[in-house]
Amino acid sequence: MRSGADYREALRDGRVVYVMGEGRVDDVTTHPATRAMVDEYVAWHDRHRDPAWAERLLRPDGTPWAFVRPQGKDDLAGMGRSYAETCFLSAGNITHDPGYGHLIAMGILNAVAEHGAGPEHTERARAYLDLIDRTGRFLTFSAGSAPIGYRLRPDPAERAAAKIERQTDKGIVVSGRIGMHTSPCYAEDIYVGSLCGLQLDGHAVSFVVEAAAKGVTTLCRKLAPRDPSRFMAPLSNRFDELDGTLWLDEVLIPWERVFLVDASPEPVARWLMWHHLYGWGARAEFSLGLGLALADAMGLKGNDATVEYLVDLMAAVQTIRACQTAGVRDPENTAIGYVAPNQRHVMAGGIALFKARQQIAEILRIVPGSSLVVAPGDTDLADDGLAAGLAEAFAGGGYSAKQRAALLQLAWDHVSSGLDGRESAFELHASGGMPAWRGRLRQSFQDYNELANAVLQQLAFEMPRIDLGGIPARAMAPRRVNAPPADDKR
Amino acid sequence: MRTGADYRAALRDGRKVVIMGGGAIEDVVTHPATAAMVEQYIAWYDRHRDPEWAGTLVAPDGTPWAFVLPRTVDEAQAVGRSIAKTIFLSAGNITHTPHYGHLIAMGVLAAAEKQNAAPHYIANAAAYREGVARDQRFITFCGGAPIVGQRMQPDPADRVSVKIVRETDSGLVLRGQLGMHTSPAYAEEVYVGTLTGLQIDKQPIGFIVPVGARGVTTLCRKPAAREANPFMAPLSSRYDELDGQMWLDDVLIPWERVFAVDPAPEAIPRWLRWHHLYGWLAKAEFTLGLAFALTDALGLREHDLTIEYLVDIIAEVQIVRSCIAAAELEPEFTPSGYCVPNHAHLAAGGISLFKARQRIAELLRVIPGSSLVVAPGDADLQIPELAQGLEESFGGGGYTARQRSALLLMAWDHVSSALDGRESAFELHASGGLPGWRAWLRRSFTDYNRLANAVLEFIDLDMPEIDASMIGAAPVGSRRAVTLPAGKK
Repeated sequence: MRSGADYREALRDGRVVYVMGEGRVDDVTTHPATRAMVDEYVAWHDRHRDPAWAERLLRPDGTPWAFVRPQGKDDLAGMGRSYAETCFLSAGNITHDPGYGHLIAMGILNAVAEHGAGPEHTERARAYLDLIDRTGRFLTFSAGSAPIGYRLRPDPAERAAAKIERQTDKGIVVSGRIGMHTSPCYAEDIYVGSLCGLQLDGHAVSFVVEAAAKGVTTLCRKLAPRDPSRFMAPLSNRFDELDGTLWLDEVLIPWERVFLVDASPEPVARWLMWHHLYGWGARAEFSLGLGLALADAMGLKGNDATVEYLVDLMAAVQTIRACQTAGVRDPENTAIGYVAPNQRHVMAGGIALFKARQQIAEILRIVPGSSLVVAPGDTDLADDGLAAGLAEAFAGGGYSAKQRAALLQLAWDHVSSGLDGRESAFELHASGGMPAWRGRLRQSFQDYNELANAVLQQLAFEMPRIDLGGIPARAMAPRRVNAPPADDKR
Repeated sequence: MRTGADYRAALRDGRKVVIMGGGAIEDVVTHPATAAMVEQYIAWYDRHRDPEWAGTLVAPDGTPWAFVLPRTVDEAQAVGRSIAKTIFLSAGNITHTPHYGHLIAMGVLAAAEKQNAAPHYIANAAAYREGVARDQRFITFCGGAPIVGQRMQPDPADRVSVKIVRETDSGLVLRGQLGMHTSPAYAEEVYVGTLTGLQIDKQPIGFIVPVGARGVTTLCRKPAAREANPFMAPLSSRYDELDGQMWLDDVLIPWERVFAVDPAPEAIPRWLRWHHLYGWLAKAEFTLGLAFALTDALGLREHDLTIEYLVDIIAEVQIVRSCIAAAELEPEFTPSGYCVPNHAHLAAGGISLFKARQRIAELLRVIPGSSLVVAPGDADLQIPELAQGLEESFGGGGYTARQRSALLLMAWDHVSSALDGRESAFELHASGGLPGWRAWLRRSFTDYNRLANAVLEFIDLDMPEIDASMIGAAPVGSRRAVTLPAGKK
């Protein structure tokens, strides 16, 4: 595993980055808008060299779980544990890291193998996975869809995100605008999926582009608004994983980074939803941890209504834990010989959490009472004119006013901040949102005919044999189509 | 394995059974109110001798999974699979079987070992469990709580279900009245739990009472109202598992059937809630199967909204399946090495299903459309002046009117009948209802302090160390107290 310092140095590669509202970022490792997250990724790397973390992050042979290719359920369990532990460290806000990139690279290999364009293509994808695992390069994921302006173009042929300008001996030269993806300014490579619309010899094309390649510009979204004080915004100041779009201006994509895949992005995402669910689970567990801490700090551990709220949180958390446990311990094989968590269990967990997440946030706003709204900051507590009164108002029961206020501000930052709003908006789209998770469950559920025909056994006479194989076989719901306005509005 | 015929003969043991609204039952094997369920239990036994079922119900050494005390994950999964497959056969309505009885006996054994009151109690519990596994008799479970009239007694000392009349060399002589439990008319023995409040040697006790013992009267609830015609009520006419009460009038309980047990609410039900969850899942899976079948029969396989309804049910079913899978794949073990499905995962599954069940039932009423309400019966289809019109109205698309009606009426019987209402009312109480399952999760969740203190690491201050373990350790809420009306006795 490379060091954090090596990773930091790798980001000084001449990349062209803009942050909306902040302008050009010359050096992401030092710019105020990006350096905190760089520090988090540096810590992610260095944590793998920390003996205190070795048991959780390294396989007994020393391989980081983040780069293991799972051969069985014990591998999946080790990988899952490492995701859970590391995602929790950012309260579930940092969802993309080099370990996630390794899962993307495994997914590329899986997608290429499933597509079956030929062994040379499979070897190309395997070589790229080898590179990722050998170097620890940080790869992130874009499905490849176009931004809204492209989708509203009058000519349907112009609505794709990217186009091939020309082919050369070295590769394809691509131009275009790639829609939302996460952490491009911190990653070294971006996988652009088949939704980009490129085709070669009748095959859908996906590719990996270097963030610093000539002709690449990364445009990150605006920052989540936050108080600059770490006391007031302990999460927002550290964990604002920036999403972005990517502009490609005649960018050369070497042939060894061009991957022929199915039109559907699902085979690439084979391991990714599992990781997403760990991120969501970490966020839910952090909410439960905050709920428990607040119950202690507010003297409510014996309050029946509060305990019932906590049980609501526990039920949500435990459902996800159960689904993840089942997914890991009841795995499935893939086309490339590595096991994957059972899709059905993972989808069930994701759907359960999609339904529960609003209630989880509301409960965390309820448990501390209105103190959550009026808690002071550290500067208020240091104000001579306010200090004594605020101490009287917020101290007691084993907590100083500063300690209790810090905990309340942490809760506020977790479930009532711009960072929280971004997380919700992002997750409602990033992996397709609830419709896509439901579609994946529909496709992975297996007992349609068995159940349908089993109930007919209750009837004492002959019934038609039922075949519902068409329901799971139906394609995922198509991406919504944006209707260009009438001619007079163009 | 015992035969169904042997079981049938065992029910003719002189038991005294009364059914509310129906009077005394001389022979449960033949009485119209009970005969259908007896046949189901006979089939349960005989199924274990059916070669087609052997792979599902019988361990490689020939032992029925229903009577295996699991010690490994593989054994727990096999036991679970046998429960799932057999409960589905009644659409989740038959929740108490001899298999369930063996799980009770396992719970008694584990609870006696946990209490560790005296060696003979453990030995008696072990011998009892082995006896049940050997002769495969049918036990059911009663918590032991008093009935409402007892709870209204003016003297608090009288607010108990059962009292000890005397102790003899042979055992305890008991008198009292025991509250709701299930299938006592079909069981051979009833385990009565610690909610009786009885103690021996200052230890809370449970005991076994034979249904046919002298002094025992079983009072079953009224049957779920139903059409007599199986075409109209294919489930209600077969699967009305009768709940009941039990009166004890100077009944001798032999000492070897008295057990000092751990009174914790998890102790005896250690394996039972696993079985409960399989029962609820079977009902949900049957609902899903019906929804699939109705989607086919109503020609809605390509209808997007219907498919979304199906996915709603699929999601609820799969969540519970996942929780059960996790519970079996990540089990707990008693000190003696018995494999117990992980309680935290089970509790999560149960709570999820408690929340979803109303929605599941409504979806099954929605999917078939109003045809569900107006579907004809088989007798209607044979009325000369109606037959052709009904065939035009309900036949077509690969289904005869009779076939489509049969399916619609089965859906009605499943989610709009008195049997369905009984199932709901029963499950809202039987294992403590949602409050009981939530308390069970609270007590089995293990990360209170780890999570509470982990979030404090995000604050750049020294913070107090949090001990939130009292939340998990708090006892289950006491049973609701009955307030005596002022001036009334």
